[in-house]
Amino acid sequence: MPSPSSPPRAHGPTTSREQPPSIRRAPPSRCSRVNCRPADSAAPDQLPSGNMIVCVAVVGHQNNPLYLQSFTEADDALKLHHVVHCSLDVIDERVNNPKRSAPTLNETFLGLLYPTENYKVYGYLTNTKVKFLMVTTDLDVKDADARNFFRKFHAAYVDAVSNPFHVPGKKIASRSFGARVSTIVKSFGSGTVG
Amino acid sequence: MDPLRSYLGRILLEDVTPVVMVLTTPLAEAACRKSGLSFVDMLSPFSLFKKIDVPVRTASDQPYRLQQFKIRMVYASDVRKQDCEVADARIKQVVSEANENALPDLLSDPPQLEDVLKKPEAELCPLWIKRFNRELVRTLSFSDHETFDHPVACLLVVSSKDKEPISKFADLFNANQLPPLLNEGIMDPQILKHYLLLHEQQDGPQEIAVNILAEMRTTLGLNDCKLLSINSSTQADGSDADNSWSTYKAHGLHNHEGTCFLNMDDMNEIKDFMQDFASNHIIPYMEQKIRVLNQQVATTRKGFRNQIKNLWWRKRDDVPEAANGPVYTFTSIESQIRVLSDYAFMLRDYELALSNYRLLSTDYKLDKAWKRFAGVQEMSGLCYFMLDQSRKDAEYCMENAFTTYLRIGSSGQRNATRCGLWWAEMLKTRGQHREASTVYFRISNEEPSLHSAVLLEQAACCYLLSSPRMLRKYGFHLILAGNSYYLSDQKQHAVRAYRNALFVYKQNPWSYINNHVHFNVGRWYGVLGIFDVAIKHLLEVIACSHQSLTTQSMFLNDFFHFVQSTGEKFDVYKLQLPVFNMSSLRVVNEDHRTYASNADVDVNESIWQELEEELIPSSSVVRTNWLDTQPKSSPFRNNKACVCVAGEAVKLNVELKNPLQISVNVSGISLICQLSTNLNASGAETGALTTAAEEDIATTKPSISTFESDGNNFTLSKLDIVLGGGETKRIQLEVTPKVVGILKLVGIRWTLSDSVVGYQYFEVATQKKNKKGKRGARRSLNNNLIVIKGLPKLTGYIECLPTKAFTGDLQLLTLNLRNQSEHAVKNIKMKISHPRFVIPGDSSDLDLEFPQCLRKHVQSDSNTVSEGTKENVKGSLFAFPQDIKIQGGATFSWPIWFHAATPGNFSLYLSLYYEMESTTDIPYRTLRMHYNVEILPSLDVSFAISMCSSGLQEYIVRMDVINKTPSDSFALHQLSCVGTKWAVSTLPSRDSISFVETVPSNQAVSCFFKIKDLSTSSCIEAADGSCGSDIVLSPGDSTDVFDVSRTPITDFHYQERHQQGKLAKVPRSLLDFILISKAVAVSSSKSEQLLSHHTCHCSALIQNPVWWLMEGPRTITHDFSKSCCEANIELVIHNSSEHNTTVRVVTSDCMAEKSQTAPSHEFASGQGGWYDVSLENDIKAIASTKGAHSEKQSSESISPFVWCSLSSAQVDLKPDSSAKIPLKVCIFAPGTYDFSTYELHWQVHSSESGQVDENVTSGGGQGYPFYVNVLQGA
Repeated sequence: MPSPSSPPRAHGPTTSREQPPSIRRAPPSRCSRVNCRPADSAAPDQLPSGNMIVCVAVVGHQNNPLYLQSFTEADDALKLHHVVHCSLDVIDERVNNPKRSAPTLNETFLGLLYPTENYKVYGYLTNTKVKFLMVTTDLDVKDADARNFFRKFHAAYVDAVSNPFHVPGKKIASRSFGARVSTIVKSFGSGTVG
Repeated sequence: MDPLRSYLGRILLEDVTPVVMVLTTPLAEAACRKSGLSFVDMLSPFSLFKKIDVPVRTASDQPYRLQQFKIRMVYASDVRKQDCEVADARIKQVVSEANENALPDLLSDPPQLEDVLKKPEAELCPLWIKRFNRELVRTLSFSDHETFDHPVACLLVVSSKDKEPISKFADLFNANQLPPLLNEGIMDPQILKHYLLLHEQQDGPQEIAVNILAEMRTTLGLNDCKLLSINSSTQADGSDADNSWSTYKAHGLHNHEGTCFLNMDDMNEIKDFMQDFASNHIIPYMEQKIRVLNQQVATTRKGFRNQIKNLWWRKRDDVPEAANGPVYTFTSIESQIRVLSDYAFMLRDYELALSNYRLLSTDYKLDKAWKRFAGVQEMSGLCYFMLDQSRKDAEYCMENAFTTYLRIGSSGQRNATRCGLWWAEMLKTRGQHREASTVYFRISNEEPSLHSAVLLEQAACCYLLSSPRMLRKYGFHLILAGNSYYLSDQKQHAVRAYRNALFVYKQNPWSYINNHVHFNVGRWYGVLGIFDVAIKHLLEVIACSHQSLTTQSMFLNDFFHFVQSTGEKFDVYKLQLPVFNMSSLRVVNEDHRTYASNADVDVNESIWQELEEELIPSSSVVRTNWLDTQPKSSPFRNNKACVCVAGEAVKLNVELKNPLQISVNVSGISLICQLSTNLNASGAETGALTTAAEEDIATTKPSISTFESDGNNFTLSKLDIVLGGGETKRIQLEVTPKVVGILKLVGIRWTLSDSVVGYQYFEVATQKKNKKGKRGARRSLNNNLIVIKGLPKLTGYIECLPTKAFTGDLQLLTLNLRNQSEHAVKNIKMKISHPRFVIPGDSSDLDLEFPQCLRKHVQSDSNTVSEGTKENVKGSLFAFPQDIKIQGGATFSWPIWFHAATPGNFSLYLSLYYEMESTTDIPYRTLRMHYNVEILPSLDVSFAISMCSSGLQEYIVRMDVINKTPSDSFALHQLSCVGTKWAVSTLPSRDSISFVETVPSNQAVSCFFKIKDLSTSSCIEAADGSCGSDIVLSPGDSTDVFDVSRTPITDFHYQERHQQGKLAKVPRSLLDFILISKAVAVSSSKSEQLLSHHTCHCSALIQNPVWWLMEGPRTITHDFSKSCCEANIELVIHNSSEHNTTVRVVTSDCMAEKSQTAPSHEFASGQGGWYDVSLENDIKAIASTKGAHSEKQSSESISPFVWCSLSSAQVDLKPDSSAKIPLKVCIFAPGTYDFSTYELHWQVHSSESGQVDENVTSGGGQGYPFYVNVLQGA
């Protein structure tokens, strides 16, 4: 006599989180092309294969952008601006409701902030309330990797703002900072933890 | 919150209600049409029962009462799945209707954060969105996997005018016309039937109808037949009838023709009918059905045995796997359970419904009938919600249903949307707005753009309502919504969504997003034809410097396009294109200070003041102390206001920058000015007036048109420029007042690309009086100018003043002055900052031909002139002769000598002072001129002077000339010693060595000269004409000599001497040299360029105070056979120091050995080393070598000569005097002898001996070689 078969895994509530809704429509690609509908298939193709980080950003303590660099070939600066901007809401929420993060009071790494349809946004908050954000297409990022990335990123930022010619609160224009960040981004996910 | 009272609860109570299928005959329908209504329309206002108060008993024995109830009346033809396109069109219409209401809203200002927060929740999510949601849900009506849309009852309507009404009833329920649900076996065709006979009162008495009714009751059943009388009103359009129906118009029913034959009685009758139909037929029928089905389910499915059986049966039966699971007919137990639970749901027995849904869900899951499973999950979620039980379960069910719908693909897509909408409403009811917005966002992905736009907008609202507020996400979702609206051609909605998001991005420097929003809002406004708002928004983005070139040009093109569409010129306050750098603003007004050119204005005022210190009358500038009040008579001596002169332009320098990468065309840049002519008011009053006016401008910002009327009083310059991408230009604007008064500079206006007029007012520093500490620390813009009466004004320039010159360049220039006014000016004075470079000449110099005038043959009484000018030059203040007056309109020239003294960049400042002939407000004016001269290095001349050992008061001069230019050559022309004291001559060997007269570029030349002091020595050559203070170096005519003692050269030399004397701290200077050279002209057209190099304070390299020289016969012929030879020689000693000196001469014989070898060693080493020895001596030595050689070898051992007179002598020498010491040498053999074996020791007796250096006071020296050839006489 056959035993009652267990319900398929697909029906469990956990699976729904593992399976994000199918990607059908990307957010508006750019301001200039709003009238043309973004191609459905465009978004995944544009992403460079080896590099999973599409954007990093530094946001000042007044939520003003200090640095925003995208690492995609596509002209999606506006979209990434939006994604980063929205993620600030989540940071605000995390910071203002510390009940969930009571044991991690001094933790700078904020973890996954904003899982959108094609991106995941990770955040990091310094003691001076400067936020670092990283937008990645890799939907399975290890926390340790992200932590490591932010640690390096933070070090680079500290060096950049230590420049006596840098005006605090103004955008970071240092070219060497940009170069250093792109090296960090390139090394991300290559498995070098430490 | 009671779930039934929540929004979702109310929706469910209204939407998940029993459906009554209506079948009418055409005549019955026509009767209703008379009132402009369909039959369903006529009944529908009465299908909602607010207080039905019916007892209901379902499966349980416990009855409960229903208060509110609703039945849905649907035509049989509509009982089927809706066509997709029709449904979408209906939804689109809902959205478009809302468009029209939105339009006035769009003209107002975009909402701010406070406005949005103040809004109640209902307004954030307006009614039309709710309607949209319901329409979206309604598109899924009558689906086959759910039964709550399946008709519960059937209402058959036949008109009393129909022939054979009984058979009509039978025909109506003909299977052919029935909806597919019943025909396809999905639904039980055995439903409750209700027969209605429709009678029109107008058509006749009711008796016929009553008869038919009786007949119906006998054939069709007693209780199921009803008679309804309508159209009782005889008057077609009675006013009371209209009113009675109008109360129901709110239900969305529009009486198109405006006529209505229904009166109050009719309506009451309809109402009673519906009440009866619902409470006596539908509800009891459903109760009964529930009980029957429940019984059936209990027997077949409840209990352990049935469950096992069920599982067994399913296991065996799962072979025919269909894509959508097995097909269930109405007879299947699953369908019956579904009907049971749906009926229970509709009758609000949620517990019964839930238990059956759960039972069903396991069945469907086992059957893999996913769509049905999802539907059941959905319903159980709603049951949980309505029961207000476990929230977690409710959410779990909804999520499960949602994901399952999504998983089955396109067929479940809309179902997923409906499920999501319910789910989101459920979350909203519980205050979980964030989760709700996530759900909205998820379902928006599945829908076409129009639907997704509305859904995204709802998601945005949820973010706003969530706690804490997530404004950024609100903004982002509104942007997404707006974008979707735009894609689906709903521009009004798009604008509305973007506008609502504006405030989110306003205060943040997220310029990319902000620009995007503003640009699109502006563009869409433009598309909608609201150009002024469009332009307002586009103005925010046109000056974006950070965008790419293409984006910038797109912004700009759209902007201009809309501006041109309006067909008029726009006045824009503080237009950001181009950007005027207000901190660079500088007003140039000429009062008593006038400037030769615009560049002169930028020179620091302190430089001018320092220069003009001696020039301008001191009484007017010096105030004895600060309490001294200014003379009252001069009204313009207001401490704040500046003065300008009528008829003379006031200039304003300002920097403007193009922030874009595109070049923009800026035309008509001009000042905005006001000139008030009432000067009668005293200074205090005017001050008050102007400050009031300033405040007026600051507060009201009047439009520029008010300033355009003053054309009679002043003229404005207009400037057109094209600014390239990123270019910064400095422009000068002018206003020329014509009348006396107070001129006020208000602002700047300009026209951008001939279409937009921008204007900007100067911000006047108002804190002048508040801050006492910083007065005068920074230059505040003074925009009030007092215009005074016209004055004479001189303009002037130096003609042909080179901007680049070689060092030493000597030129004759002309200072040209011009009086532009009618009045004469007098008492002209001039001061020059660098008299080393520029010296005013004499009036006679003007006509001279340069450089011929400098030649020596033009003899004149130059010495006296030079004495006179020397005094003037000393103070660098030059007064023109008193009789010189420049009449109005006249020009005046004066010669100016220019000499490029040293290399480097120099700023020459000239200030001219002049007084007015007639009395005016200002007694004098100054003309300030400023020139920058770059002086390049040319010849570097240095002199090395060494004492000549062969002659007293003679020096050998080595002149090193290095040409430091990269390409030019210079011809050395003349070397002159300054003054008459010195004579310069070439060395005697000059003829044999070809002389270098030109120095090519990067080459060096050394020349040797001999100079002789004419004043002290009794030189015979002084009388000789060949030896003068000048020597011509060029091979040409020896008379072609420039006179260095004439006015320009000697004046410049005086300056040079003064300057170089400051630098060089030489203890004793001998003389000054002037080297005159000519540039070798590359092109013949160039006039002859003369360079004079002045080297002053030259001195000898070794400064011995004592100078000695052996004098005596060089060749002695003596007969050694008779006796030894005695040679008489003299040592001439000269004291060239300024003090008394004691000189001791010591001769010695023992040094003979050494003295003999020393010269031989010198020969052996050849000319390798430099010795401080005169050339003349060398040559002699070489000449004597041949003869002396053999003798020297032989006389090595014996002492060749003996000093015989004295071994030591001492003389005291006065300054600049010489003495002769006679010496005698005894020679024993013929040969060549060097009588250098003596030493001199001297002691300088200075008056203040303590201060004189030890090295200088005493010293000594070896004797110079003095060769005497002694020959054997015959």
